[in-house]
Amino acid sequence: MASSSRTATRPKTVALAGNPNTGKSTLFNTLTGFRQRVGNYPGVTVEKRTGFLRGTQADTSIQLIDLPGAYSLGAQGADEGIVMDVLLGQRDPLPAPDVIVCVVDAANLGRNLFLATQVLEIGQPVVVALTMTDLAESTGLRIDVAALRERLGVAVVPVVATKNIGVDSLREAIQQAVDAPPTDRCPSFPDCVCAELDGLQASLASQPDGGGRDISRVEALQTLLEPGGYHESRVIKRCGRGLANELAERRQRIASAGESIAEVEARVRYAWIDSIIQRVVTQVKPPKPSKSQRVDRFLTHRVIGLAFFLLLMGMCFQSIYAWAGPVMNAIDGIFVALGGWLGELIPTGPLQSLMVNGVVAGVGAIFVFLPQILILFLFITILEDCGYMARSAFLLDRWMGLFGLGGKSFIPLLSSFACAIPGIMATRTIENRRDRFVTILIAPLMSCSARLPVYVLLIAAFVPSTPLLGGLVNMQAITLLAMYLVGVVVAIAIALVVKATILKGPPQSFLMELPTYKWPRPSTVLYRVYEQGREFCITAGTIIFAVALIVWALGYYPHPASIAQDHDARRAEAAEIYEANNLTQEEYRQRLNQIDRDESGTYLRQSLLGRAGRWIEPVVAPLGWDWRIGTAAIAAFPAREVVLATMGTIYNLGDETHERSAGLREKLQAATWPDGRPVFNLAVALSIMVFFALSCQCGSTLAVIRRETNSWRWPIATFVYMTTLGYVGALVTYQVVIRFV
Amino acid sequence: MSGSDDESAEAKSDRSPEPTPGTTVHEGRCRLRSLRISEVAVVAGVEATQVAAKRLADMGFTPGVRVEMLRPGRPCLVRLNGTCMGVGARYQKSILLTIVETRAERDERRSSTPLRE
Repeated sequence: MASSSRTATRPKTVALAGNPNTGKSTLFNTLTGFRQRVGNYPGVTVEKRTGFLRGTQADTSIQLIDLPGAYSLGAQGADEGIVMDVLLGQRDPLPAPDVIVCVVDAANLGRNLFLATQVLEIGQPVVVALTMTDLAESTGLRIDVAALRERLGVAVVPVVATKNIGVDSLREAIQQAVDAPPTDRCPSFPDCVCAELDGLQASLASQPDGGGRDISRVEALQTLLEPGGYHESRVIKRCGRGLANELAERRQRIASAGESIAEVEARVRYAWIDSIIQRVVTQVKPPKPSKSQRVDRFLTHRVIGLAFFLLLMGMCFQSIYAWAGPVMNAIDGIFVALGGWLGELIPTGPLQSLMVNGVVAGVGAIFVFLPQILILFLFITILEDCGYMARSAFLLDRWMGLFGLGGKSFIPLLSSFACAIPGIMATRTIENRRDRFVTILIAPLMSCSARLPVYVLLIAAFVPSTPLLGGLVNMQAITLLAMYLVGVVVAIAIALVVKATILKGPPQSFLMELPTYKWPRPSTVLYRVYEQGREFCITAGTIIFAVALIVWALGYYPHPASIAQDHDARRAEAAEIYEANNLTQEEYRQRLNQIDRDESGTYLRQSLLGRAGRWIEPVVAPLGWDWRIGTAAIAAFPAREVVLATMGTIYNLGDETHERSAGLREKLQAATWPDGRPVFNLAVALSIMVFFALSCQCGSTLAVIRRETNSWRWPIATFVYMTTLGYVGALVTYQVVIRFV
Repeated sequence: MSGSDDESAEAKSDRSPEPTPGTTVHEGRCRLRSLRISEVAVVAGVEATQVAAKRLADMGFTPGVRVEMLRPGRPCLVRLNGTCMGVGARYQKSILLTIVETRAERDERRSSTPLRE
């Protein structure tokens, strides 16, 4: 479209900034109509959320960026610094925003304006979106929007995103803001600080490197006032170590002038903000405790609050198992049927085996867990959206502190007892990078539901059900509990060790706003759940697909024809006997089935996988394992769910075995070493269970860790440390127990 | 982590009118951790590392700001500028306050004129 010199310039990129819990995301959803893309900024673990403005033809070319919520542009790490980086256009490929929409919560105007004043100083056109005005009114506050507009010098648009009020005005304001001159209303800093800022800007502009880039005043301020902070480190990296000395000298001069580096910005800004509030905000009704505060009287109570939380978690897990169960069976059925259909369709050979046993079985094993994962996502999203997550972090911070973690780690870790994948994705709420990484590292140690079949089978087969404590509990139940505890205890140890060594750093004390409770909006929640589910399917799906192919190939090749010939001979023999009427039809069918199973077993035993199992036999012998257990353990690495099917196949039981199948249990009990000793006993069973408790046998988990940490280091480290732990744990368990039993 | 006995003794000594040996809290002042429920105080200053001090300041704990204790403990719950905030033990030790009114005084004031915030 040709533009004449009189056509107003159109904004191309708009960024949304604001405090957490201001309804910024809801506003973003409304503005983009849920057409969003989620990605990652390189080197940073917070998500990058962009979309296009929904609306008129003119609107839809505008790209919207939803920035992570922040209380200040100051930053201690890249995850926090990303906000200012994007606003200043320092994050390729995102261009500098033409307009910045600052989302301000009317009920908390004081603190919200802190970030707003920083954003105003950037010098770009700003529009203030005033949210939660209904909430402010209900507590008796009245805000004079016109006065606020005049005081800030920018457009102020009251918005209630949930009810779609004010959104059109906001769109208009964004369009108009591009041409408006930037505001000149700013808090003024003391002379000593201004002098140093001017000097710093001049000094950086004259640097040969960086092309004499004009450093923004906001960036200069944060560099100066946060020694050791993120912005300082970036500027020093650009301009060399000489700058560090210069900064130290400037800070010294400010301190000598009687100003505190840490306090001066807050003091100056809040003083300016207070003067605005005096003029703009009136309390027309006496403030009474809002509904939110009255609810909090119970929910943050040390005892009642904690009891409520435990009850809530109990309900959550109960529903997962109650609702997910039937759906999981249905999905399982679908995949089995799909496998059967493909089996009919494709002639016998590698392709058929690949599709049925590789792809369908492998991918099916993961999707069976999708209902559980989705329900968990649903609970976590609802809790977060309504504001309860912050209360749970508040209640648990004290206890989690004993393990070197914070309150926000609890729900991700608890979720991992059902499945580590939603648990790890839930760690996004943990702002402290160190705490987040430690939580991600130990989440797979929480015994997830995929380990349960292994425990159930082995306990039923090898742990006596002797009653203890006068019949109150029995040994089998205690053993099951012990397996869960093994994971927890080891996780605590790892957390303490990692926090004392690799991820060492000053513990971050709790400092969190408890946002007002609000009803979660169904559209937001469901969209979030869908988004996370989709992400899981793509991330996990691709890896599992790849790994399932590899494991299938290892279990299929070589595929010598001699085995088929031998078994065909047996089939022919059985057919003869049937023809001669010495077998009933039922017996004939059973015999054929058995021959099929024997054939699969033989193939597996001399496949690459089987040979690998025998090759590592000396390595697993100290664990009390024989090569068949070793083979099954290797096959279980991409997805531990397949271990029972693999064991079933190795023992010629076919691969439809499950934990309650008597056949597998009996076979295990009867299995012997070449010299006749039984393979399985209590010690071996325990060592297998401990191995499964402590190893990471889940490709999906590793894939999600890779996505959340945005690097390969962490999933590899997780895999290595957990496998080592599993081996050592199984070794110790076997060697100790065998001496007593 | 110091035992609870030590902590409550320290907290008590924070409030003593005469500075006790070992503390540097001046008369009339206390630290956040020894503020009792419903008491209102005004921030006098922050004693912490620069990183922690800036974080607290940016969140609103600047001199002159009113703080009301809603639920003491670790972490504690306070009202600051109209927002409820959870504050952890380490920060509680760092925030210095001047007590403005005790619970009794506050109830008396509330029953009279409506508040202009």
